[in-house]
Amino acid sequence: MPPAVTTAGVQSLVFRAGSLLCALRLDEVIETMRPLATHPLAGTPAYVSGICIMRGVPTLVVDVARLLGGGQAQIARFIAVRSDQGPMAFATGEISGVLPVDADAAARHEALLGDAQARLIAAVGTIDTEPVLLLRSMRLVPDEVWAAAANLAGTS
Amino acid sequence: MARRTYGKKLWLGFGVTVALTLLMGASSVFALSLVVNAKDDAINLAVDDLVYSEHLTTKMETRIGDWRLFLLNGSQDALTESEKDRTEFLSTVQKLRTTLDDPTALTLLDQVSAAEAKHAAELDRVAERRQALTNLTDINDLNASAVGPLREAMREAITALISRVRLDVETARKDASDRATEAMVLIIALALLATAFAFVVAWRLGRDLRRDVGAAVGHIQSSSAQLEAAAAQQAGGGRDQASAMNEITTTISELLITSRQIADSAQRVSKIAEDTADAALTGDATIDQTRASIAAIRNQVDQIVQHMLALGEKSQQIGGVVDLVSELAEQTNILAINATIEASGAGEWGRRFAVVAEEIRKLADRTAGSAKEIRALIEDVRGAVNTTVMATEIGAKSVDAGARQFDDATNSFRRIAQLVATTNEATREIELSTAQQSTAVEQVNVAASDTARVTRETEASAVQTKQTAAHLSNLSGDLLELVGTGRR
Repeated sequence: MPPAVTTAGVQSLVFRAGSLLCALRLDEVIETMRPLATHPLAGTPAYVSGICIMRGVPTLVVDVARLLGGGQAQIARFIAVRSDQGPMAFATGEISGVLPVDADAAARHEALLGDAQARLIAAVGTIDTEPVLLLRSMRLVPDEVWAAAANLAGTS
Repeated sequence: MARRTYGKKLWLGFGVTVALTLLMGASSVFALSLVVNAKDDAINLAVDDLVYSEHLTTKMETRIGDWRLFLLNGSQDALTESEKDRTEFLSTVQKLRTTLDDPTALTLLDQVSAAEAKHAAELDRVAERRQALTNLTDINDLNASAVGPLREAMREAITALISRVRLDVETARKDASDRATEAMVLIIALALLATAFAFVVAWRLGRDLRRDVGAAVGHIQSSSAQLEAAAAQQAGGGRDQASAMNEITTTISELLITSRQIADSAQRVSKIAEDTADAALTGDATIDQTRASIAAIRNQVDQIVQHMLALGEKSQQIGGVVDLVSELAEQTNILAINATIEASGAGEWGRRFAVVAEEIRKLADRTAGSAKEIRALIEDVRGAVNTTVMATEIGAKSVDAGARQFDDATNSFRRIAQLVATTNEATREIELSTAQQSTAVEQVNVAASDTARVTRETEASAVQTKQTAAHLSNLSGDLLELVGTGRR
């Protein structure tokens, strides 16, 4: 049963990342799709699954569940998002749908998330009784990863 | 060398003895004949030669007598007699010449003939002168002085001849006596030889008789003792056997009763076996019906398996369709989300479209959920079908195994039916055999009674044999004494 939609908040694409319920702002989302063939990329963090060809363009694939500290999770969808360096693919679980998520910055709980996590999570909302992590896609991938991907793209 | 029997030894010993006796008899006859011949020769010599020689003297004296008568009376008859006497004298001389063998005697006979011739010649001259005389006073004219010496000479010659003939006779008698003595010596020697041989034969036969017959009799005596012991043992065994035969007779009587009971039981068993055979025939028909039912079950199970396999295939086809529906729902879901994303940046119209897209996404989710449920149901159906097929196949195999076991049971049942038939025949044979056995046991009972009687007779015979053996042992001892061994 899909979660109940709250009347207030930002329209976000809500999806599963392992046991976590995550969300992305719709203006950061390009599209959703089925998982594509992913090639592992050497010299990248563990949460970078590799690189795939999406719409004819080499695109980094980030495992959101592993990025957020969870273990290995089953990949059901790819979500194409916008970033400063270009489009990027999030490997996620099932997509719950487009729902309004309360993006109150005061609820970031930095004491719990710390600096590193605060860099990734814009806010923590709720859907029903379950917490929803509103992600900031622009900051997910470090620059060195983009450099490695650029090198790989340059060599390939 | 082969061992000679006593018969041969006796025949050989007595044969040689008889041969020596015959030889002795033949030699005696031969010697006696020689002696007889010698005595005949001596007697002939004595009778013929000596008598003829003495007859010469007689004839000479007769002629001299006749001659003197002639001289006295001058009778011609006397002269004729005298000449006749001379003729007989010469005839006797001639006979002696033919009979004499001694050359000396023949010489003496020649001398006698010569003297007689001289004497006859002188007598002839004197006779002529006597015939001329007519008067005896002139007797001196006869001049017969020469006659006397001639006569004496002739007498001496005859005497010498007689002496020689006597000597020859004596010699012949002595030769005959010597031959008789030699014959006696020969006969005595042969008699001694035959006696010695008979003694040797008797000694050897006696020795062999004592040695061999004594040993044989000793064996007979020991065998008699053994026979006596065996007869005693046989008598004891006969008594035991008689008592055992009595027990056997009693047991056979009981066996006869039991055999009759067995015959009755065998008859009842035969009746039961016949009933069993009838029941087996009825069971055979039931078995055929059961086999047909099992075959029908097998066909039904096969049809069930085929239907279930077809159901599995249909379920798989439905699963394919459901997969397609699920695929379309998923794709619709993605498209609806993307449409919502696109619509979010399109203002008011976009929000309306987003609402529609959300509804489409919900429909797609419901479709996907339903497809997933259908898929789960189909999987359940397929699992159930597979389980059913497996269970049905197991059932089919069980039916086959049951059919085989039923075939085995059928074969066993038919085998049992055959065995029951065989048992029936065997029971009848047993019944017949038991009846025959009863008859045989009765015969055995009679035979056992006869055997008991014979055993008692055998015991009596054994006692008799024991007595006979003891008697034979005594006889052996007596025979040992007879043959001279003296052993008892």
